[in-house]
Amino acid sequence: MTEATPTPDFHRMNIPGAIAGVLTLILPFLGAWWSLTLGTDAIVVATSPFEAKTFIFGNYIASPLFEWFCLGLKLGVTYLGLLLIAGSILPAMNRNEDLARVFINFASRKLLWLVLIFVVALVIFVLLLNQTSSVLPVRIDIPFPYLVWTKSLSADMENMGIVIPICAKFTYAFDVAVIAAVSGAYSRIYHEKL
Amino acid sequence: MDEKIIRSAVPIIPAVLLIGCILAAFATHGWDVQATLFAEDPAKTAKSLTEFGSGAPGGGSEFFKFNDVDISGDRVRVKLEVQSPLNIPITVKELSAEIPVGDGVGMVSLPEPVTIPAKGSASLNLEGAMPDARTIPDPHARKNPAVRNMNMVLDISGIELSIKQPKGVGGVS
Repeated sequence: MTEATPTPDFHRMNIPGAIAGVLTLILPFLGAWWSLTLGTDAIVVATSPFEAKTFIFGNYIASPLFEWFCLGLKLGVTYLGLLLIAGSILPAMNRNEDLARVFINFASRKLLWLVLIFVVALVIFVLLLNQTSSVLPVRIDIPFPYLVWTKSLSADMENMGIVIPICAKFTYAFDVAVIAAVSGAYSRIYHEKL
Repeated sequence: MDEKIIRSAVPIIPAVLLIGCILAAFATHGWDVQATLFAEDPAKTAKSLTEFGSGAPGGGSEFFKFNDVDISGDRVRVKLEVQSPLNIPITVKELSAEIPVGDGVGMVSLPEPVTIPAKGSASLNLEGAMPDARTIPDPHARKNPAVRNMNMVLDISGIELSIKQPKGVGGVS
């Protein structure tokens, strides 16, 4: 005996979950979420939960452990995206609805937490940077920007003057992450209504 | 696959991926903690960065090398060799200095900005007028006059650094 294939009912698809899933899948490949630039490219910090690239006067500061850790996060987030897509589509296929709920419940809020942790980590990073202020070859106290800032700082010391344009900004990838995170969180509520 | 297995595997997989990647980081670097934490020796990286800071004009600098002085007519020309330790280009926007000529002191300056390539060198040709001719019994009397009291403005990838050599400190010779 063959089991009859259930007819797909796309009205029962978790649309916010599917959107969140697709966005979550592409998110690790969109690059940095936030960047801090001193000068045009004298010092560049470009970061996301999946990468942290730091260039200081053309020197790339790398940590293999951190790069592997970021790869783990990349794979983990890709996995969350797949769970969200599977959890959103399964009800439409009239199959394994309990499993779909497990997928959605597990994956829906993780990205939101990741976004929140990223923002808090950034604030802590800038706070620490402001405490140390020894990243430049000259010792100078620079108030580094918190999250979003574009300003030119100048300082005069004995026999030395310095003008540093500083730009800190979120990239479009962060916007995508926020949309994915909110859609993911909403997909859990939406799923209850299906 | 059994639904129960899937249910229990769902929350474990991300942790397995993360721990697997951390273990892979150590395994690919021969379980050497320092090599896994830092791609380059942090002391070496810090040294290469501070080299530039200590390479500003002044005593024993490898940043500037005095090459030649040429006096013709009422003009004095000084050639400086600049070596950049940085991996990014540096533009010397302005540079002026004093050079003793005979009993007087000549002022030389850079006619136009010069870009030093990353980790490369460039020649800076400073030019200026001779000091008052009456003070110069023999302009060529000092073969190796020291360039002193340098003032310069550097553009390091958008960061503008103005450096003044303190009066009476060293010189490039």
